[in-house]
Parts: sequence; structure tokens; C-alpha cells
Amino acid sequence: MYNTKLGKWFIPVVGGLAFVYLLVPIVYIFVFSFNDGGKSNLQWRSFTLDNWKNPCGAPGACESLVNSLSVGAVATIIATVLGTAVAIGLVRYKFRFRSTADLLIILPLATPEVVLGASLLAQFLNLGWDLGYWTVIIAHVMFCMSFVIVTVRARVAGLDDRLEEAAADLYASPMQRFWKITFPMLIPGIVAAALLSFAMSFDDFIITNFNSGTFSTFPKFVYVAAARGIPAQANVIGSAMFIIALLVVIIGQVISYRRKKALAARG
Amino acid sequence: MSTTATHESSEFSPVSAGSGADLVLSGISKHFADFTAVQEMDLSIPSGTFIALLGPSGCGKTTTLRMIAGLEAPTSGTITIGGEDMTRLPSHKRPVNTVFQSYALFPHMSILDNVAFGLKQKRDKDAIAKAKAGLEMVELSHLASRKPAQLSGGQQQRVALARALVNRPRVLLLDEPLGALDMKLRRQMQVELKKIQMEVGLTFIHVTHDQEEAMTMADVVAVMNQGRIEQMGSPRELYELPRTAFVANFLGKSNLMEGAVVADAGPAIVVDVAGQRFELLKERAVATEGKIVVGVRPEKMRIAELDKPGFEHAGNQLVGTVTDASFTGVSTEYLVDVPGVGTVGTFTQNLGQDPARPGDKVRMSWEPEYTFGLGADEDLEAGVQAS
Amino acid sequence: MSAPAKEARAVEKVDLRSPEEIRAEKKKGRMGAWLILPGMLYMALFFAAPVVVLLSMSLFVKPEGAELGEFVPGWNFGTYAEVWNRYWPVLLRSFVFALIATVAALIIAFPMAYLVAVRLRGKPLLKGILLVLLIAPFFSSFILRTQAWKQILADEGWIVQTLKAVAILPADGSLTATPFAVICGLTYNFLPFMMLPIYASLERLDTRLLEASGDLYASPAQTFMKVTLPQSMPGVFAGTLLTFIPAAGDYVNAAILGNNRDTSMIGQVIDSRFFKVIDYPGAAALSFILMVCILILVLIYIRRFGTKDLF
Repeated sequence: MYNTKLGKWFIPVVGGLAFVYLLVPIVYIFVFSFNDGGKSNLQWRSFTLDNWKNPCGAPGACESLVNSLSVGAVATIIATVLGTAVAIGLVRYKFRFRSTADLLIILPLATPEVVLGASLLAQFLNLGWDLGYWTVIIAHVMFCMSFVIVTVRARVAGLDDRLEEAAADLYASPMQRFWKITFPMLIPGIVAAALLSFAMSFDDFIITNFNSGTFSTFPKFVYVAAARGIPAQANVIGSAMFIIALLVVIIGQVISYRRKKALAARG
Repeated sequence: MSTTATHESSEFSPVSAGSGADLVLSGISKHFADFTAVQEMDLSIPSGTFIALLGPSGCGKTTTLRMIAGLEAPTSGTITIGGEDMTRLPSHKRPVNTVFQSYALFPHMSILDNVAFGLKQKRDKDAIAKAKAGLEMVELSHLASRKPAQLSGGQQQRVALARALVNRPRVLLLDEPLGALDMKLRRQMQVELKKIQMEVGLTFIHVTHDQEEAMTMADVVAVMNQGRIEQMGSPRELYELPRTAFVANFLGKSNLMEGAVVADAGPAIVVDVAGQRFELLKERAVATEGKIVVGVRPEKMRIAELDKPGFEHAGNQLVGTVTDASFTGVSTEYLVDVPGVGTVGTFTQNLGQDPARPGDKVRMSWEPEYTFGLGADEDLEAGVQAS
Repeated sequence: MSAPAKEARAVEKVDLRSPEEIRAEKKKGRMGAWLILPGMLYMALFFAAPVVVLLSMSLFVKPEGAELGEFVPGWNFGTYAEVWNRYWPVLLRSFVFALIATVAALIIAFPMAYLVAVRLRGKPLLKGILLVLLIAPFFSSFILRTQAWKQILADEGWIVQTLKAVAILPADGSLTATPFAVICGLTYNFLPFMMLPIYASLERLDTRLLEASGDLYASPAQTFMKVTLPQSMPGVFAGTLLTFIPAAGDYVNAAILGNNRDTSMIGQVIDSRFFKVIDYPGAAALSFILMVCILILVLIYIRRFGTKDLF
């Protein structure tokens, strides 16, 4: 066996501790969402459910959350559609200017957010566009698209061309081949890319801060509030979003796991 | 160029238009950007034939198959099925189905949906019923709701076969469909495939590099090499009378020796090989004058210790020294060094005797009618497979 | 590509294909172009063009007696010298912090990735849950989490009190408002970006290779160095880039967990030049310097360790 005694406990312990490290602030946020901490919520005072009963109690908190969800959804849809098309085009077809296209995809990933934010701001100032909802969407689509392309491209490259040939052999026209074979097989990759996009858009602060003007998103709300003390309602929203994300994905996983098990058991 | 002339008795002559042939390739070539896969191929396959395209990897057999399937467009030439021109028809409009080497089952669909795919594409109202019948034929009805990944290699292979067969194509193409299976399963599937082909009576084109597979299953074997058909005919014809060194070596083993014609003896000629005289029937020789290559299959030879009393030898004889003897149970294989000729291989069936050991001087002989003659410009090593 | 290979390519081979086939190939290429065109146009308009605008903005001139924030197009290269002389120590600090955070994140992320990818094989449910735990924190907002760290590590918090009690930390010491806190924050925030690519390459690791290595007399440490690590290199490579690049430009961690003396990072400076000082050319020049420095570092890194897998 390759596992030595040391290796047997070392990896689980260190890896486990790393996960604890990752979750410590979440636990803190969750605990302090029950704090009757007044405006600043810095010191533990007493337990209360008031914050959870009235999550929109802090002015601007819920509006910013709705804004974030809206931006996340719209930006994800646009980035996923455009990015998936690019990913398929790049893998399946040869054409000139391919390396230029590659560069346009990779460079945004190799550029710090502060530069992306600043350059887009410069562009918007130059074009004379008012900052707000749509400039934020434009910015989010831009950085999400690179991630979508990279994620989906790996999936397209991993596809077996022979499956499409088999479909062609079985009387499927090029369009039918795409929608019945290629697309269904790309779905897991596209869903993963969309989820990642949504998470990144939802959690983005720096680029948003440059391009939002007076428009507020949840991270921006928290950042601005931090100066005077973050209201406990922000903790409620943060915890709730974390728990919802966790539940949605875990329930999805359990269902697919059950289905697989049932399938395996049947034979 | 056309297919090398087959034996006169062959009913499968190369393209002779209107001979009731169902699938006809004429003058088919396929060039890729930097190499030529298939060169000016003519091939005519009567309806209902089980034909094997046999050749080493890179010989163009798979490209030929893909052109018939419509997955590759020929650079020149035409493909017709039952007189209809298929050359420019895209794959999904051809009455042809393929069993792919990797099976190419759709991983996101159940087995039943896989088998019903082609029927549904053709908007067949009984798609599901026919698919179920197809699964029954390959004895996999109980796995209809599984996904391909949950099946063994042999089961996947049968699904791929059912998926192609349920469409009742005019021609069924099999691209090394047994290549991924282990030996035992392979033999079993070979028998099953042959059985199914006889049942459904469809034209099967089976691409393989396994000569044993080709010979046991096919009615007709076409041996391909470097984008051309070297020779085509029934397995027995090809084996007994190869017309090129490539066929002689690729299909089984052969002893090939260079010699020169020294006399004409009516229906036969006499050939001198390193001082030995061999008789050879004219009808079994590609060339009957000047330098030629003489060949004989190893199992046609008898072997005995030199001048062993009472041993009855045949007309053509060679003398040499045994360099190696390997006992394989059913037979013993000998390598014999013959001065002026080189190493000659032969084997004897295990009848309890032990005719020679390494170092022994031996005499080998065979009947003149087993001898075959090839053209002088043949490469004696062509088609030799590393063992 | 080596020189002889280039020469070999230069010799045009005769294309054996028919004109029709070549035309079909070209037609296929055009269809691919239609697929990528909308996305690429978008990137050109909202990534490439803005970078050019940023570059030109960095050369703007402040006219005599101009109001705050008023600039006219020009060729003032002096801005570059000015901001470089003033801020190179901050730039250097940003890279040092980002480098330390990247190494720390690598050390922490590798066991995590190994645990999930290799040890939990055959336990898809637990594996799935741990992977979700990695992504789900995004939804609680990283600003909120960074703020939480600030409060956890605060002077009056129990961690600092405990460290002081056991004299690891001097009585007047603190954890927040230190370079240590900023680096911890960076490490924490970019951990998922390090972990996921490593996980992806370790997931493909064939554990039989590890057994084979052990069978060929390698100790576990040697096996790790000679088999596991090389096999996970594409992931490590991608992860380090995905951590280092955003970390070098980050300013949230420095703003929340840092002080005004020895923790400020280049992102903070760019932000304040833009929004507080209203010095657009200065901010643009700094952004550009940051971008170029990172590209140079990344290119050196790719030359040295690169695989073709990601970049």
C-alpha cells in the first residue's frame, strides 16, 4: 500500500483543518446573525431572533441583495450563452485569427480585477455612459465569459467526435446531432460554468465598485456599511445565502446519487 | 488501377457494371492534405455478401468504410448502392449503418433509446417496438433501461450491433467491432455475427486486421495494402493461391524463394531455386518466364531426417539443417536453414513421431500442385507480421 | 518550436485534396467564425478597447488652472515616472504579499485537494459536500467574511487574548492591522481558486502509479515528489496563477485587515487615485504598470514551468 501510517492520518487531518479554516468566518457570521448587537454588531451582547425575523430591517440591505441576484442571473445567462458558443467554435472549427481569439479569452484571466475595473470605467467615461445596473452587467459578463469559455472548452475538447458520427450514421442531421447528442453531453459542463459565473458575479466587489456609480450590490453594501459597522441583517443575508447555496447543491447531489444507486441496484 | 485479378473461378469479379451488384465503388480515391489513404479503388459487392476488408493499420480499409458510410467524402470516384449514386449524399441520408470500433453508444441515453435512435430519426412509428425486438435478438432485453457505462464490453458491442441492425440498412458496416474484446468473447461474437448475418441476409462489410477473423466469418475477403486492394476472393482461394507476396505473408505464413524458369513442361513449368528444381503448374503462377518467386505454405510440406529409409517424399524437395524446433502441442514447428535459400519454416502434425531435432540434416518435400508462383519484383518480406 | 521544425514547416507541401474538399473545409471554418464572433466582439469592445482607452487616459494632461478631475488628451509620459517613483515600494509589497499568500494557499490547498480527489474516491456524497463547501462561501460575500476575520482576530477577541496569555504574542501586540493579517486574508480568500484546479488534476491521478512507485522502492516522500507532484503540476500551475494574479491586485483585504503604514497595496492606491484624489491619468498609469508587471511575471513563469493545458 502507498499509505504509510503517517500518510494515513496526515492528509485527512491537515485537509480537514483547511476546511475548518475555510468555514470559521462563516460560522462567525452565522453566530453573529443572532446577536442583538445594535448598529455595529461588533461585540456579542445577547441572543435574538429579531434579525432573522426582519432581514430587510437594515436600510438598503435587501435592495442590494435583489440587485446582486438580478445582476448575477442576467450576467450569467449572457456570459453562458456567448461563452458556450465561443468554446464550441474554438474547439470544433479551424479558422484564422485563432490565436487572437485565444488571447482575448486568456488575458482577462491574467489581469487583476482592479485593472479590469479601471479600464472599463475609463471606457464608460470615454463613451459618456451613465454608471449603473447595465454597466455592472456589462462588466460582469466580461469577466464571467472567460471562465465559461475555459470551463466549457475543456468539456467540448473531451467530447468524443465519434458519437456525432454515430448519430450521423443513424440519420441525424447536423442540427439534430447538436441538440440530441452534443448539447446534452455538454450540459454538466455548462451548468458548472453557469454556477461558477453566478457565484463570481454575486461575490464580486472590485469591478462592481468601479463601474456601479450609485447602484448598490450586496458586497458593495457590506463594504460601505463596514465603515460605520455592519448591521446584523447583513449576517442574516450572508448566512441564508450560504445555506441556500449549500442546500440546493447538496439536495441535487443526493438526488443524482440516489438515482445512480437505484439504477445500479436494478441490474 | 483495378483490383488484382482474382482466380478465374471467382464469382466476385471486380467491377463489372450491372452484375446485380448492390454496392459498387468505382475509381474511389481519398487524399488527405499530406497523404493518400485510398487509391483508385474499384469494388463491387453483391447484395447479401459478408465481405471482410483485411489489412494492416493504415492500409486504407477504415477510410474506405467511412467513405461508404458518408463520414468521409471521396476525393474522386463514385459510390452507388443498388444503382443509386450515393457519392455526395451526407451520412444521415444514406441507407447504411455502422457498428463503430469504440461502439460510440450515446452515454446519456438508455440502451433502449440508443437502439431506437435511428428509427426515431426516420420517424418510424414502431420505433420502440422494433428497438425492443432488436434487443431481444442480441439477448439484452433485460438491460434496456441501463446506461451504456453500466454494460460490459461484450454487451456494449451487442447493443451497437442492434442499434445498427434495427434500421435494416442496405449495407451494414463493421469497423473492427470485435477489436476491444478478449479472445474468448471475440470467438463467441464472431459466431454470433455470422449467424445474425445469415438470418437477416444483409450485406455486411467487416473491416479487420485479424486474418483469422476475416477468414472464419467472411464469404469474400479483400486484402488491402497501401490504399489498394491486393487480392479479393473467398478465404480458401486467397489462402491456397495468393497472387502477391503481401497476401502470401499477411494471410497465414508462406515460404517464398526466388528462382528462375528453366523449362516448360506442358501444363507446368520447372523452376530452379538455388540448384533445386521445382515443378509448378502454369495456372498457379503469375509469371511463367524468366525470374519468378516460388512459394509454398509451411503445412503443405513433409519433413524427415535426411535419407530416412522408407519415408515417402513428394516431388519438390529441399535439404537443410534444422535450426529450431518448437513444440506447440498439436504440432511441432521447424525452422530449417537451406543453403542458398535461407530459412524455411514447416510444421508437422503431432502423430506421436519426432522427425527431427535442431542440428539434424533433413529433407523437406511437397506436392507440385501446392506450389504457387509470384512475379519476380515482389518484396519477399511484404506483409510479414511480427510474431 | 525549434528552428529546424520551423524550416520544415516553411516548405509548402503539395495539398493532395481536391478544390471542393478545401472549399468545404473553409466553409466549415466560416461557420466556426460565426459561433465565436459575438463573444469575441464583446471581448474586443469591453476588454481590449477599454485597455486601450486606459492606456490613452494614462497620457492625459492636466491643463493650467483645470478643475478637479478635468484632463485633456495628450502625451504626458511624465505621469508614468511620477507614479513609479512614488509607488514602486507599494507595488513591490503587493507582489511580495501575493507571493507569500500564493505559497501559503498552495501548502493549505494541496492536502485539501488530495483528500477530496484521492482519499475520498468511492465516497461521492462526502466528496460532493466538501466541494460544495468550497464554493458556497462565495454566496456569503467575501467582504463579509473578511470583516469576520477582522473581528475574530481583533485585539479583544479570544484568539489574541489566548496568544497573549501564552506569551506567543507580546502584551501590546495585535494581529489585525498587520501585514500578517493582510496575507492571511489573501490566502483565505483565494484558497478555492488554488484548490479547484489542483483537485481537477489530482482527480485524474491513477493511484496504481503510487503503488507501482512504492513497489519500485520509493519511500512515500519520494513517491510524492516523483509521482504525485509531477502528475498534479498542471493544476498547481493553474492554481498558482489564479491565486497570484488577483491577489496582487486585491485591495479589499488590505483595506479591511491592514493599516495605513506598512500594508497598503497597489489596488488601494489605484482605487483612491480614481475615486478620492480624482487623478485619472495617475490611476490609469498605475493600472497599466500593474498589468504589464503581472504579464511579465506570468510570462516568465509560463516559460519556466508552463504546460499547454491552461495558458
